[in-house]
Amino acid sequence: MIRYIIRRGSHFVFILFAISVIVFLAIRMAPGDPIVHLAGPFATATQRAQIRTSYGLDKPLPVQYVKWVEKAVQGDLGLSMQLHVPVWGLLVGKLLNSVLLIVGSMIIAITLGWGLGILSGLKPGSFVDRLAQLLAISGISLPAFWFGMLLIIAFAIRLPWFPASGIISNRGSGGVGDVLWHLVLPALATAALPAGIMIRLTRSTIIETMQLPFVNALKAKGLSNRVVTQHIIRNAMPALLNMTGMQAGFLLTADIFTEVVFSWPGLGFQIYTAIIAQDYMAVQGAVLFVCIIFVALNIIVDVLRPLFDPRIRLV
Amino acid sequence: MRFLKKFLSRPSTMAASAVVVIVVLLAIMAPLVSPWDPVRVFPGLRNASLFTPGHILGTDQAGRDILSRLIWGARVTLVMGTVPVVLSMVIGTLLGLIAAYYAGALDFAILRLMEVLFAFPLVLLAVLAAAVFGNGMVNAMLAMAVAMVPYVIRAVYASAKPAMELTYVEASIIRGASASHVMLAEILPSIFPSLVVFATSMIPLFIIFAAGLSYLGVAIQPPTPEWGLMIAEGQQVIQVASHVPTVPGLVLLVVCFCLNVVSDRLQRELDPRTRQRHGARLPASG
Repeated sequence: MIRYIIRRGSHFVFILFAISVIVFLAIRMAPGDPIVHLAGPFATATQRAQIRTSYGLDKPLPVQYVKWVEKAVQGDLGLSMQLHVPVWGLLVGKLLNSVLLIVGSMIIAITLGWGLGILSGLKPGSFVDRLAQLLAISGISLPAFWFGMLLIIAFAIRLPWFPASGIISNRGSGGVGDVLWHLVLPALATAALPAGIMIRLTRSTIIETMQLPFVNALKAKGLSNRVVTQHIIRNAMPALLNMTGMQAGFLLTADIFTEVVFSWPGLGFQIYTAIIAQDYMAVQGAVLFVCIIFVALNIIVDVLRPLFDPRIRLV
Repeated sequence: MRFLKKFLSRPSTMAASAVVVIVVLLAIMAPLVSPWDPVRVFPGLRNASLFTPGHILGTDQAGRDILSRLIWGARVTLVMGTVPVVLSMVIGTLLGLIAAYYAGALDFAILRLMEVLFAFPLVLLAVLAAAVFGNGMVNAMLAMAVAMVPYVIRAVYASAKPAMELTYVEASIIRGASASHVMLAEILPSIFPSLVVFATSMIPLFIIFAAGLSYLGVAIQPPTPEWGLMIAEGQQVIQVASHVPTVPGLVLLVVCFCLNVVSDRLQRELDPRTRQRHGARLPASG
């Protein structure tokens, strides 16, 4: 177990190193000069050179890279060139907003995905199964950004029940209720794709589990249908949890589309605006930040897996 | 032929295939069937509603015929969704086969590279790559292909590695067959059906993905007709003419829905694992 954690840890460091190099180089290969963006159209060459020096962008690339990593290790990802605030603080706040959106949509996706998936998997070919399949294909075929827009037309413009954008009201009491009220439409739009995928994966997992020999043994023992079903679901659980974790990790950046539609101030929206504005510091910081979370999540899931499935041993 | 007959035996598959074929044909014959030039502006007819004479689907915020833009846009959107999948399938299959065949340094290098790419969430990688390569259709397709490649490598490697131990593969190696023969003539045919299934199930997802990138403004630029871009532009007039952004999205939804139905059916026919048990397995995206 300890050896396993050490091995995964050294792996983690290697992946972080590779990612940091790729991100660092990629963002500098992008067409266009961020200094021109920053200095405005009327800046003189001297002024541009001054700004370039102030961000350290006049130094050779290896020097820039080492400086960036040196500071990043200490939790300093530099200043956003566009907003002039520390990137780190900017990202942490946005991450919380994104997590809120992901949790909200995963609650919807799990309810639909596990519920319908288990129901249809237990009775393939039934009416519920067909309905679930139809819903699943629709969920997978729905473009999230367009679905979000439809929700805005229907439930924010035609029927003004929910706000069309943002995370809190400018006026009014604010508070948890207000945030949740803003969360409803974005969470619905974000949930469509993972819900569709999860219905199908849950269904096929349940069908696969039902064909295992232990199910026959239980039936032969004369156990009631309810008890057999409980055993099937319990056996399918590790696979279901694994799949759910993957979907949540996927949403970490896939929610960029709905975040943009609803102007939800999350990580995806932040990365999007930083890329559009060619904000070097913010983009490289944000991408590194997201990748660290993503890789760390994967490792945590791996380490936790034996808790849910005693058959797995970490070596 | 017998396969095709069996494949189309279900009415739902038949209908879905018909829709896909019609849309593809319309896209190919766009210059012949499109009622207007997709970028022609009718100055007096901004946001014309559905069923306006001469413009059956109305006109957009700039006064351009929506139906014509949809037909021309199909060329862009469908190509943008399909080419990256095919491209990444070819590259990923080759790399996956090589990694499975050559144990040792090459195997190690490919798998490490893959792990690094996996650390980038798919969507982030594509958005970043699109920004790096710059705007434009070719660049966006490259970006999506790069993002997809590690997933293909993983799928190919996972099925090709155990195939290396099959008796007929071992026999072929002992007989002195060349590396390319073993990879392409022995292993590839055995995993080919599941690769086709994998690819067809990814195409609708990537069509939506492509439209999404255009929607975000990192792929196709105006005034080129493209479905995702049409939705983004139409959003400006969402309050006065909600059909302008709604119609392109509806078309996108229907096309992807039909593609998914076709790919599901194909999976049941081609994939030996699911042929028996009437189950659908979608490659998990993550």
